[in-house]
Amino acid sequence: MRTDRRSLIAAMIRLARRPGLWLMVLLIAVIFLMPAAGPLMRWLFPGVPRPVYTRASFFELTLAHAELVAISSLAAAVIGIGFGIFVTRESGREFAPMAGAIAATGQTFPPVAVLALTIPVLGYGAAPAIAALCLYAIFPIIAATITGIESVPAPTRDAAMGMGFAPRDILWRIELPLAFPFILAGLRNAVIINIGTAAIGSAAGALSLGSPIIEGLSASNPAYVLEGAVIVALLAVAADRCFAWLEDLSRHGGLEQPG
Amino acid sequence: MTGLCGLALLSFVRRPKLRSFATILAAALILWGSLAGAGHFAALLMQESPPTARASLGPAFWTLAVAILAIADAMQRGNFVIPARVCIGAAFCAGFFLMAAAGDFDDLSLAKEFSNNRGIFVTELLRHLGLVCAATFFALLIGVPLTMLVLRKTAVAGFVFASLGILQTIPSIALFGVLIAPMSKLSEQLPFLRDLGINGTGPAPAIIALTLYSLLPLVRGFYTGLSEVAREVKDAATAIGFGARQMFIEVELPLAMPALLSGLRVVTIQAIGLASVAALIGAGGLGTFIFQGIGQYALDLVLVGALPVILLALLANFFFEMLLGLARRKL
Amino acid sequence: MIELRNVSKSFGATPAVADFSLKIENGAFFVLAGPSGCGKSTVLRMINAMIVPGKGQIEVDGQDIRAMEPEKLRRSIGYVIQSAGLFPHWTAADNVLAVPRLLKWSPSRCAARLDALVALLRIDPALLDRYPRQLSGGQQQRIGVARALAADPDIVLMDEPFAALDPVSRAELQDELRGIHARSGKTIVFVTHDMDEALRLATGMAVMNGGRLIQTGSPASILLAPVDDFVRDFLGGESLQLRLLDLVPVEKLMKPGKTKATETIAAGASLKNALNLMLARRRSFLGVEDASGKRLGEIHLNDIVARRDAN
Repeated sequence: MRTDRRSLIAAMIRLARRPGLWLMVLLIAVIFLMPAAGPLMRWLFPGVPRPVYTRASFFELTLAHAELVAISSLAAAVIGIGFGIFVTRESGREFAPMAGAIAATGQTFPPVAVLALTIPVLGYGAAPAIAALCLYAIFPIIAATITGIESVPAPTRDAAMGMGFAPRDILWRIELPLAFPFILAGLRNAVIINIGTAAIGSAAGALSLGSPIIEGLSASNPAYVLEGAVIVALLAVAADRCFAWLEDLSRHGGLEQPG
Repeated sequence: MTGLCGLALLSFVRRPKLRSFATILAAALILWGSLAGAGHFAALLMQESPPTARASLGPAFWTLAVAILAIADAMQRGNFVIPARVCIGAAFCAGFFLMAAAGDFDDLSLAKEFSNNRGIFVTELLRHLGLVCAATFFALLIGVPLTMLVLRKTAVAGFVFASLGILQTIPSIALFGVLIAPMSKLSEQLPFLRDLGINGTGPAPAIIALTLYSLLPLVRGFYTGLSEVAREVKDAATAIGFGARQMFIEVELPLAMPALLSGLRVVTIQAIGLASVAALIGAGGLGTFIFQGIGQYALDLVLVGALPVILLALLANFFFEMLLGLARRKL
Repeated sequence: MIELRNVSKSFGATPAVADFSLKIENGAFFVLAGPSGCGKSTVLRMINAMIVPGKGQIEVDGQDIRAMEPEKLRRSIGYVIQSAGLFPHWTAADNVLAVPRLLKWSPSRCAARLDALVALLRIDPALLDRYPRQLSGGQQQRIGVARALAADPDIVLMDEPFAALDPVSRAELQDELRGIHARSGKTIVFVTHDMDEALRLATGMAVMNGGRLIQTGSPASILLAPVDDFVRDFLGGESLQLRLLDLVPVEKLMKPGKTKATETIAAGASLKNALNLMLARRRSFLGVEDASGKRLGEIHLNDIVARRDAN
């Protein structure tokens, strides 16, 4: 009983040390306290007539923003990981150099430019934003999946084959678990960039945390800009810390401690 | 147009069996063909429709993208030497400009949009490049001493990288936005800043934000480059009597060069992309066209901004690849 | 029994194995020896269908392996490679039980098998929960051998398993393996380029060069009558006679009876050990004693020098 309680306390301390957790708490607090920030904004920007953005609640904006990022990243993950697996199979090996080149070139495309290119094709609103975010996120995920699977040591794969692992077993039990930290890092990269690009997407009419920023910029209302910017920055940093946390968890004991 | 798409698709499928060179030729034909086709088609369309009509590139744009990718891939596979790559690239550009000079594209709305804005375009392009260069310059100014500090005092390395990492995760639009308020306060308080043209909006906050974003890739690249020079090599250099300065110039710098260049490459490409967001806070640059276009539903104007940004990024990438190739060949 | 008949294999234009025929009897400790690149690993990897031969036929227990499902075949044959190839994201215990779990053994059967293997290979149970990165090279390879034996296969293939180990761990694992082979009667096919290792372990061996089988037989018969200069050089050239002494126990040349010798040597030691001791102690003869210290007789330098045939 006693050891139970002690280990529980230890676990809670470990949890409390996670900045991701506190940032999430802070983010939620800021989202719900923002409507009460009127006096603060009035003090910061005395000349502003309406200090707090009210066209949509910040909770609504954050939810819409998260939705844009989540849908696009998830789709990109499915496509990117799938493609990464395909080009590392025997049947898809022919396409591996091409996939590498596309992933490398794709990552040099500025995300804003990708967003700008989808607008003429898909029009305004959430659809082009999601498509652009997804398109952009695919590249780092493909690159990460390929790197991850290729990082599996040749003797490991050889031993697995020699012991009678079927190709499917090798993929699911050896390659994907070993590639997971790499894929997670690629996903983290993509999600963080997407959080930023989704904000810019509101210039093209997608509802997101960028909406107050864009409106503030065009109406010369710095208070709106600051409100949107603070929340979207917090969202990005919190998401990043949460991914860091996941990466720590996914690392296997054997890889964590040297020797 | 569909025929051209089909041709592009065909080359895509059969490419594994074709030689790289043949692919480049095929892709070049498609590229120029679809460009010429688009121009021709637009001209036909213009003859029959009212003068306000616009002929957009639309699907032809994706055909072009596929063709360009096919060329890049073929070059990758063919493992061409750098001069050959430069020649191929130059040939493409030459073809493009010849067609433009011949007036092939004159009826495309993209080209119309471009010629409408030709004067501003050059200004904005220069401003864009100016933002990138200024940011890179300031990033080097701060980043190099910071790297030295981090190399000397490993205790602060963790802290420096953690703070730069957090900075890096903040979305660009947010950082630009957050900078507006303090910057405008500052210029209110300090008149000499205002005289210099430093304001809450405009290029000053943009350059500050771009510099901040550049620090992490720069310092990380420099740090890994210099800290990974093998101890044995440094020991050997010391043993044969190299001084600290000689060691740095003759040994550490050349060996770290690829990592330094990779860092600079990330900085430049990232700055090219982010500088287009800076248009939102009035810093100008190619982003001006993108956001103006989006705001006015002028989709071709968006392309006038977006395509050069992508081209700039690709060019920068190509340039650094070349430098990297040279630096690696020396090792 | 493993039988290869006229097997050939090329990688691209380079032939790796040419017209190779070999029979390996059940229960043999068969060593494939030869310089690196001679095709010995290719032969080994063809036995469990990791490499498909271009020509020829391979039978395991009278069955053509082409008729078998490769995965099933491999699960019935143990496999050990040089760097162990342990799965870095699995604990030592999970690594050992890889094949039993593929074969869907019950958890209780797995646990029992794990205990048996820990005892058989004298693995420190504390190591079982560790990850490969946390083990020394010798410990890793011990786990690797245990993993190959986990599903109790009749045949075990080993591709230079001890080549990367330090001499102490290597000798330990060689002894362990020889003991396991003697007790279990498994067929072991072992690839090495290390002649000392080959002679120490083999009951039968084949010397390969350039993808061809040069000579096959017992280690002693090959040492005594190398077919050509290549084999002689590979066996050690000048020191071939010394290697031969290594194969013969002292008791074979011992003169039984009483002895006044002050220095003694164990009856099971090799003639090389005896010669070494004579040189070190400047004696021309040694007493011979058994394990309990009882004196059995004498061995003389002259007899070693004049020895005609060891067998």
